[in-house]
Amino acid sequence: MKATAVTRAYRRRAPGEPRAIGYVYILPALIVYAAFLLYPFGQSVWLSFVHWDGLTVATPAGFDNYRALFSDASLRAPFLHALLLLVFYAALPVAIGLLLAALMSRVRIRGMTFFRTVLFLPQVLALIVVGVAWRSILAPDGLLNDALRAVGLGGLARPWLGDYTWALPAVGIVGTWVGTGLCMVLFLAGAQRIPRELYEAARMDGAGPLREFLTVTLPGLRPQIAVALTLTIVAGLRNFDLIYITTSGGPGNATSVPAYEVYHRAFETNQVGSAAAVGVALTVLIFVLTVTVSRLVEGRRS
Amino acid sequence: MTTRLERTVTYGILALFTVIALTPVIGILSTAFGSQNSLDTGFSLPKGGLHWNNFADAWSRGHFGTYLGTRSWSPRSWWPPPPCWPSSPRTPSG
Repeated sequence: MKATAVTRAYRRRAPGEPRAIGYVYILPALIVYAAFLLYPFGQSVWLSFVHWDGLTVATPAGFDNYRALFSDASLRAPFLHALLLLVFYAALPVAIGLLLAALMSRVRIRGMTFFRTVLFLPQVLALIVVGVAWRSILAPDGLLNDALRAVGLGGLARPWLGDYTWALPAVGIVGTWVGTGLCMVLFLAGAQRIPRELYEAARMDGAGPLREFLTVTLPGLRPQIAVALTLTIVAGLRNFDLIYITTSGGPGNATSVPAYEVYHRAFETNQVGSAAAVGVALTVLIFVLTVTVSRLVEGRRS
Repeated sequence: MTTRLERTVTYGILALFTVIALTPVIGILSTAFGSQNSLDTGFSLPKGGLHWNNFADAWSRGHFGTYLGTRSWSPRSWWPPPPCWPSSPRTPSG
């Protein structure tokens, strides 16, 4: 009763202050937001409904560009690749990050700062640099093939980025390498907030390391898992630089992803309308996936 | 309390992931110190010693000084314009 009364009083506007004053306060930010985000996005939506080569006059296309997303195999493939890459860009980093965070929070580690810094290092490198480094590792005469030959597994050596079957997982592994550190740091921060008493109670009840992880650590890290999944899914779906540097969508279009397809269509094949439709569809996909993941992972908490 | 085996496994896994995290970074460093004419990329000691001048070249070619704002706040930094500006007199080349 008392809390409700306080909330009601808090919600009541200050005396003498018009109700619309709030909108005036947010107006400067809203203008910047509209000019640099809403207007360009609106223009992209408009472009997605026309046929335009970037030079001549645009002609209306109706929903043709969107229909092509479903009927054209060369447009469907990038979206399928992006969804497959989410295993490497989101699921694996979160799983490995959880494993590392669980290990590091359970045992008192000497050199904790060193391990944390080194494991986070890939996250701070520019993706262009990461792409160049991994391209040399995955090259036919690169470190990975040399290592395989050195341990007698030369039969497995192949041009990883030029192989139709292995190019996509190879690019995905690079994404896992980049994203794991971020997830681990998020989970370590979250693990520090889990009360020690819960672990002690679990141990008194005879819980082993696995049970302790499943019943204490995992539920305690649910908000951090939601954040990590959101960040990694967004990073995975809008991935462009790594693909551009390592494979340029090849071989064929085996590693083409929506963001790369937008660039390819807009600037290389002059299909600006189609590129805009891919971009809008990608935005909608990112929005739907991130909202769904947030609802699924974090929603249950409340 | 954690057992000795548990600690060993933990350090083993951390060491493995540390190697995986550091290997490409070492490759980048190795390439950065190599000769610019060399075809070798990463994971080999640079032939002919460490080429420290790569970093000086990177600093000037990448316009790090300009982008880091070391000169941009000074009014004198904008004038006279650099020779590459269209308005400035060009020196005949070739």
